[in-house]
Amino acid sequence: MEEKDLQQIVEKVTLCEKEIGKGIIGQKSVIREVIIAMLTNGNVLLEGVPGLGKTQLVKTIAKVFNIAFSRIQFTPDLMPADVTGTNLIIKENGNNVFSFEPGPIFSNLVLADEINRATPKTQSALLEAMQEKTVTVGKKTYEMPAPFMVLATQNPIENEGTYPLPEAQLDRFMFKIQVDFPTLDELKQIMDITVTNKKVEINPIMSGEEIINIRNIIRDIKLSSAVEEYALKLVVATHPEVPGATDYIKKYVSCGASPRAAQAIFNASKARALLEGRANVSFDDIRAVAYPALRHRIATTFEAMADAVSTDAIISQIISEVTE
Amino acid sequence: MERKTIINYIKRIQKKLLKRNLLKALFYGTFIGVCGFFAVMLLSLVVPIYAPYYYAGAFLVFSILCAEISMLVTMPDRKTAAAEGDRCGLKERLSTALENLDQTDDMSLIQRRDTVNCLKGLDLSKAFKWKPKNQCIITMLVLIFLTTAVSFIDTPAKDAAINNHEVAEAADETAEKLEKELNKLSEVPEISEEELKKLEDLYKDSLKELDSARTHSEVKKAKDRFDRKALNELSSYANSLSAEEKKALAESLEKLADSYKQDDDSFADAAGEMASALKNSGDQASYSGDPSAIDPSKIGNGQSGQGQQGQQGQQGQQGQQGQQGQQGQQGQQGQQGQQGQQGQQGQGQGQGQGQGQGQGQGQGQGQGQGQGQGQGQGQGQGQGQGSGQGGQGWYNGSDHSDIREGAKGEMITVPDTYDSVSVTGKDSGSGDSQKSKISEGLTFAGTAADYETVITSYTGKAYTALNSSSVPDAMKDVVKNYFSELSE
Repeated sequence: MEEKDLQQIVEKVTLCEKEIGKGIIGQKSVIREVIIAMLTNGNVLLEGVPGLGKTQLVKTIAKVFNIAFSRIQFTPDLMPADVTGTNLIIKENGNNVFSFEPGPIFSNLVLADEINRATPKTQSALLEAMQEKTVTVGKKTYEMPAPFMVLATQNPIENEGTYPLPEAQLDRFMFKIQVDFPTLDELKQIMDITVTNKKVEINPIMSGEEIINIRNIIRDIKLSSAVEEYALKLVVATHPEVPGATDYIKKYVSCGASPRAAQAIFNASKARALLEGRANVSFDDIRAVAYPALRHRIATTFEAMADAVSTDAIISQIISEVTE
Repeated sequence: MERKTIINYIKRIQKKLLKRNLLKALFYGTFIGVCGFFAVMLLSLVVPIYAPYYYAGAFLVFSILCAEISMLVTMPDRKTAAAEGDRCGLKERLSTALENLDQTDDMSLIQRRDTVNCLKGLDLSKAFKWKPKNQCIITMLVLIFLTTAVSFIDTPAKDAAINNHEVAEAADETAEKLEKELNKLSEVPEISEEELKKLEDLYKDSLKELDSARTHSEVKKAKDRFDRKALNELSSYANSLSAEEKKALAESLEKLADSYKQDDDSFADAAGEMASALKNSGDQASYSGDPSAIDPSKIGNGQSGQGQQGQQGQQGQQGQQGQQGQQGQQGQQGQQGQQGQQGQQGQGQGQGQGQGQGQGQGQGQGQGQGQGQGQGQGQGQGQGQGSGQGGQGWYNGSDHSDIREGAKGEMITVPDTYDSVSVTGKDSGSGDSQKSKISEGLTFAGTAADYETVITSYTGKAYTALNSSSVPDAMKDVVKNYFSELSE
């Protein structure tokens, strides 16, 4: 491997972003974070109000990366078997045999739309697939196709008839990305695309194999001990029970981030460094990926709710207090 | 290749950091030093500190040195240098490269090459610059200005500091002089080891006095006391010597006195007088009534001559100290120890009467008058009186005498016991006398003299006279004790 290989990767990913940008106006940071998650074998939870193009984004990414895409619309009556698949009785050679019919989860890119509408039982059907990249039905375990990624969406404003994701499941998402409302100019462009006959052609840029290759390269990227320590200090600082925890954390945080958060930060910062053309991770990379990696892993107290202190505000406070 | 380049860059950064740290240390060391300088100068306004700028300056230099040494000791290591280098926009490339310097995998090589490329674009000359904060600079300038202003303020503490320093210098000089005197005395072969030891003890006592001296006069007094005590000691020692030895000692003391003449030291005078006294021992000095001389022959016998001295007592009258004439009578008493009366007048005199008339008298003559009538009286006897000269009964008695009804003569008050005694005397009509009226306290008629000079000289002569006289040893001790008490 040489520098040009890295350069090629950077160029290709940049092209992918451009291509995605044809179909999704704005949301540059969202696109970048989703790509980072994809390149680091992570899953993403997209949160935003309806109509921001979350589903459209996932479809576009699947097209650009030229990977199989499936969508699961989570409803309250959705069953786990509807997600993972089930065994069906079929006639084979005159005999009735069980045949496994894979569910929609068996795809490269799975869109779990409005995941908080399904019951916890159904939600937990995703747990094994997201973490282990396998599905166990009956006595048999089936492997997911590579690359595999779950992109889930949820609506933050409608709480009626929804089931908040349990912490165990939330922890399996590498990133929680907040999709913001577009700006005026972006909205104009969106209207230009969606309410006219204008057709946007999305071309595939990358393949699944390239994604796996890039994943391996990213794992080789170096972190200095100071950067590693900084990332770990950030994770430890989210815990109110550790010695030296600040009064702010003790007041507003009930439960801190798990070691998966540290893994997420390490992996994501490497990917970010690569996409910026560097073969090493900097403190800025750590700070940039800290928000999406930690915001869904910090459980806040009632006081935080009463004082309207968001997890992003808590993460900002931690970053300002922890020194390099 | 990249490895070497990276290490070289890190070394250059280390040097830059060290220079920056030394500059920082110099500034902050100076800042702290200036603060200390100001504090010391401020303190010197209320606490006597001599030449406070020396201490303040020493603190300034000390703080700068400490700061610089602490920076030299904590020289930045490679890791720190790499971290500092990364802050110049390298985004932790240098730190990562340094940690993976020995790694040979593809990614490490790529990372090192990337680092080297970035380092080439890094201008180290402009990096690692340090500029002190404006607030610190302004504060330091203000402190310097205030320190300068404070140095021009005069306070009693500053004057006291200068005075204390001068007194200390004078005390040191005097201590050196005393040491010199002691050394000279130790070169006198006639003085025994034991005697030298006693002189050394006196020297040590004087050093203690000098240590505790707070004024120039105290320093001078300490010197004079040493001179007196040393000579007292020598005179006692001389008494134990044979005539030959005395003569040898006298010669040595004369040489010693000559060697001090140029210094115009009172020790030279006293030593010279002692030398003469020792040489002339056996000769009787005639008492001219001059308080600085004592005629031993006229005293001590306690005989009729003393009675004659009674006449001289009259001379006392001449002073209208006439009552001193009456001392003539007392002289007789002296024989007996009716010294009682005079004895009352300070028992020294009483003693003097019968024996050491030279004592009381000598005292009385030269001094008692100045001191009190009581003394003058009994003493009028021996001294001038013996020689018939008398009349030098000086007296400073007041015209106001306490005359008791029915008492004969004039009532006088004995200084020591404050008894009133009636004394009579007749004016002989001859002899010199001086009279001065005082309204309060004591006074000398004529020019004023420094007490210390007078007492030193007087003491010397007294002891000289003692050595050359056939005064009983016990009386000699009385005289010596008297002078010792005076000197304290």
